[in-house]
Order: sequence, then structure tokens, then C-alpha cells
Amino acid sequence: MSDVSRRSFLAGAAGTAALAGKPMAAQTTGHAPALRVQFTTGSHTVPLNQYAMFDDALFSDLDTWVLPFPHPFTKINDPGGPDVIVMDDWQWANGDVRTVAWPESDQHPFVKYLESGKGVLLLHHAVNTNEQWEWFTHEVSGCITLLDPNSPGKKTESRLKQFPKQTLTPVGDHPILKGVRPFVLPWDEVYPNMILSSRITPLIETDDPDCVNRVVGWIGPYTKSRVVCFEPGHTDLATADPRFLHIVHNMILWAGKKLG
Amino acid sequence: MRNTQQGRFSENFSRRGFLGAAAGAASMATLSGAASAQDINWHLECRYLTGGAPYRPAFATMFEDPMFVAIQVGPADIGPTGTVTIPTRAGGRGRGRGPGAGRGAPAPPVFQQPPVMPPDTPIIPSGAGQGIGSLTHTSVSVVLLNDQTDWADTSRESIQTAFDANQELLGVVVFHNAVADNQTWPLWYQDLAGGLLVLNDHDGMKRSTVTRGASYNVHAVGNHPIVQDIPPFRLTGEDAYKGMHQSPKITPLLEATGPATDRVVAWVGPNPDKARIVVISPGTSAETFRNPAFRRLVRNSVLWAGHRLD
Repeated sequence: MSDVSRRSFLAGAAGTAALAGKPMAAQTTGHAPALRVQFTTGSHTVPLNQYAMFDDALFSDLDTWVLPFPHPFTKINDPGGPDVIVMDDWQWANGDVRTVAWPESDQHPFVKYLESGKGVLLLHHAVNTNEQWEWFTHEVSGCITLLDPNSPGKKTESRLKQFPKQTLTPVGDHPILKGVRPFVLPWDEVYPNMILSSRITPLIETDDPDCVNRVVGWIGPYTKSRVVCFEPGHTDLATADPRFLHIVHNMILWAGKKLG
Repeated sequence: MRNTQQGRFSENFSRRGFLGAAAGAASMATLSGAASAQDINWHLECRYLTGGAPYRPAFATMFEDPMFVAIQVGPADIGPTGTVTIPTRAGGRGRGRGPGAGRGAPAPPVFQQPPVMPPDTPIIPSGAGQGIGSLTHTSVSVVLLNDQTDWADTSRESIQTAFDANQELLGVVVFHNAVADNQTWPLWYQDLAGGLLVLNDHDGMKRSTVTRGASYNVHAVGNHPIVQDIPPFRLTGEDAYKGMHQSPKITPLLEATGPATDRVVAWVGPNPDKARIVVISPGTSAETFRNPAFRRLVRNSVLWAGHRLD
């Protein structure tokens, strides 16, 4: 099946056919993978389902491997390296409320990778990674978190809010949103005190009343490559939700220039 | 690979339903002498530790097979420093009894972060009187290693101290990548894991060879409880390790036939009284992780390492 017709199928059937158990990506069986994807975690728990989702039939058009820290970027610029890197790391040091910057030995190949035009998806924890690397937060993720207890505008004391039932609603008509309808994502985790750059492109909003900024899915400000961010993804339930999988899959395809 | 997304959803819920409603099912009760009719409401809390080397997502999917129903796997990946500590057992029979009891110190972040459970997770009373909701790192029973790192000195020192003091370490199952852990730490590869994929010539050991995409047959050997019900099976698209360092004191579990592979490809470490460590060297292809016999080998290894299979 051609890429175009597959997209049409996604657009028309997502959320209904997916729930009904249609193996979307099975139709690409026998074809070369559309993209090579590296999933990188580190220093924090990630639900088992988030690793396992890459083994779902929907993702069978991707050649995915898991490569957590330390030193996950050593070979990303080599031939055969990833087309898209999916990050879900969260690294911190005792005594500092901000997540630490990646080691310089990791920063350099990552910047080179971005400058080459290859894609990145920052998933869940990783929207707040590298808070001590200003270039990353300002130019790549476009996201900072209000951590000072006295920050004006903070709605909650805690950095995070766990297990809300939130309705996620697509915003605009970005290709990533094809087939995405509003849906309830139960029992996940949100970061209520995120502030986003004015240069991001909103994709998905939450209705959680504690969020300073309702945007939980967005295109980052970086212009040399495609960077997309999606804040949900903390629990096994959320990462097993076919609507969640559909969005993540679309984000990967878009970051790898296979969509839109 | 799962066939459908719906399948993954319903599987998730049915697994919980099984936990809640059928914790005393015969399949669990017959796993072990420890799982008597009076002690059936238990699970093993495991940490899944990776980093430094790639692996396939099918490795994670494997642990969602219903055969792992009594094994709760919480991933916890390594950070930039590569610090790993294996705490000592904290009270026996796979459950902690009291903060810090008998642990090695300091625990790394991965063991200081209990997994966060969604609120619908059923609280299951354990044999030690603790449920999932009261998780602390002292309740970790088994560590599943698929990293490929040289652990930090602080980690090594705490394990060495516990080992020298005859404190039993947590159970460990060493997978594929982690057979190359700790290249320069003889205690690990001689006395604990009992084997090493040698990455470079050193200390009188020659570099092992790795053949990618190999196919070979494996069969269980001996009468260890781990291999009681493991039929012969064939691995395809696998890495084959040859020339691994292996201690003469290991207990072989699985042997392979083929020119590219060592004969013994899974074994129990040399000091099971101090550390129940199982090493399973195959484990790179998705097909391997989907193989029912391989999954059963992994399940039995985890249960034995957690004192739930004897």
C-alpha cells in the first residue's frame, strides 16, 4: 500500500478502527522500514509500555532500537544512524531543582545531528530535559518550567501533577493531527508549570485546570530540523492508549519527514 | 509483535484482572515450593536496567506476556554516570522488611525511585504483608540487567563489601548486552556473573567474537529448576558469542550447537548462596524475545533469582 493511501486510512480510521483492533501497520509488512528510530531514555523510570509500544503493529513501519544513556549519541551521525531520535530522559543532581545538562560529549553529536536536519521527538519527561542547557530549552524544546516557589503565575507548588483525567484536544490542522479527535487520557502525569516559547506551534491542548499553559503537544522553535514535543506518557495506561500511540506515531513520521 | 492495538489494551486490563481475581491460580501455586497454598499472593518486584548498548523494544514486550503475571517489571535506566548498585537482599523471600535492612549503600537513583503506579493498580497482599502500594527500593527482589557499562567504583565497592560480609545480594538476571558489563572488575565476572564477553584483550583474556545474524539450536542441560520445563529451541537472527570468559564454577543451563557460538550460552553464577545470578547470553533479535521457550527460560530465571523457584 502506498504511503498516501496509508495516510488516508490513518486519517479516516484512527480512533475508531484502532480501537476496533485493525492492525494498521500490518499493511506495510514486507516493505523497507520508513524510518530508523532511536529511543533514548535515562536516569528515570519510564513505563514498560512505552518501550513496548515500539513493538506494536502500528510502529512496524519503523526500525526502532532502544539506546539509553550513558553515551547514547556516539553513533547517531554515522551511516545507519537514526532518522528520528525519540527522547524520554530526565536527569538531575541532588540539590538542584533543574534537570542537569547532558554531558558535553553528548551535546556535541546531538547538535551536529540536529544541524544535519534529522528529527527529534521529546516525549514526556524529555520536554523538561536539559533545563541547565539554555540553548536547548530556548531553541530546541521551547519549554521551561517555573521552579522558583515564588514564580508569578504558578498554579501548583509541585513540579508535576499525577493521574489527572484530562481531555486532549487537537489545535489547528497540522499534518500530525490527521485523524486525531479530542479524547480523554486517564491517569497520566502533567507538568502544570510549563512556560512555552512564543515561537512554538501548538498541536494539542489539555483541559487540566492546573496547567499554566494548556499546550501539551507542540512543534519546537528549531528551524534546521523537525523537533516535536509531547508531554503525556507517564503511565502504562496512557502509553497503551491507541489514541496516544497514533499521535506519537504521527509525530515520529513528521519528524522524519514522512508526513507533511 | 502484537497483532492489534485492541489486543494490547485488553491484554493490559485482563492481566490486572488476572492478578486481582486469580492470584491463587494453580499456575502460580505450582511455580515453587515457596508458593504454597498459604503463600500465593505474592509478586516479584524487578528493576529492568539498561544503558550503554542498544536493544530491541521486543525485550520490553516480553515482560507483558501473561506468563510473567507474578513478575512486576519496572524499567529504570542508567544516567550519564553509569552508576549501578545491586542492593543486598532486604529480608528474604523477595520482600523488604524495614527501611534499609541489610542493603548495600549507597543505592543509586534507580533504586531510590519506586515506580509510580496508576491509582487503579490493585493492592495485592504479599507473603511479607506488603502490597504494591507500599513499594520502596527495599522491596526490589530481582534486577534485570541488559546494560553494557563499567559500573562506578562506588557501586563496585558497595557490592564488594556486601559480598565479603556474606550478605546475600539481590537476585540478578544478566541478559545479552550485560554479559560484557564490568570488563575490569574480576569480582563481577569471576565470582558473581561467572562469565564475560571480553570486548578487548586484557588480563590474559582474548577478545571474544560476536557473529551477527546467527542461527543455532539450543537445549537445556542438567536438572536445575530453571530448565526443568524448557524444550529445545532454535534461535534465528541472533548474536552468537564465542570465546567468552567462563568460570569453571558456573552451572550450565543451556548449551548451543554451531561453529560461531560457545557451547554454554546460559548459566548460573558460581556463588548462588551469596548471589543468585543467572546469565542468558542470547537476546538480541525480536524473534528470540517472542520465542515461548526463551520467555519461559527468562521467567524461570527471574523466579529462581527471586527465591520463588527452588
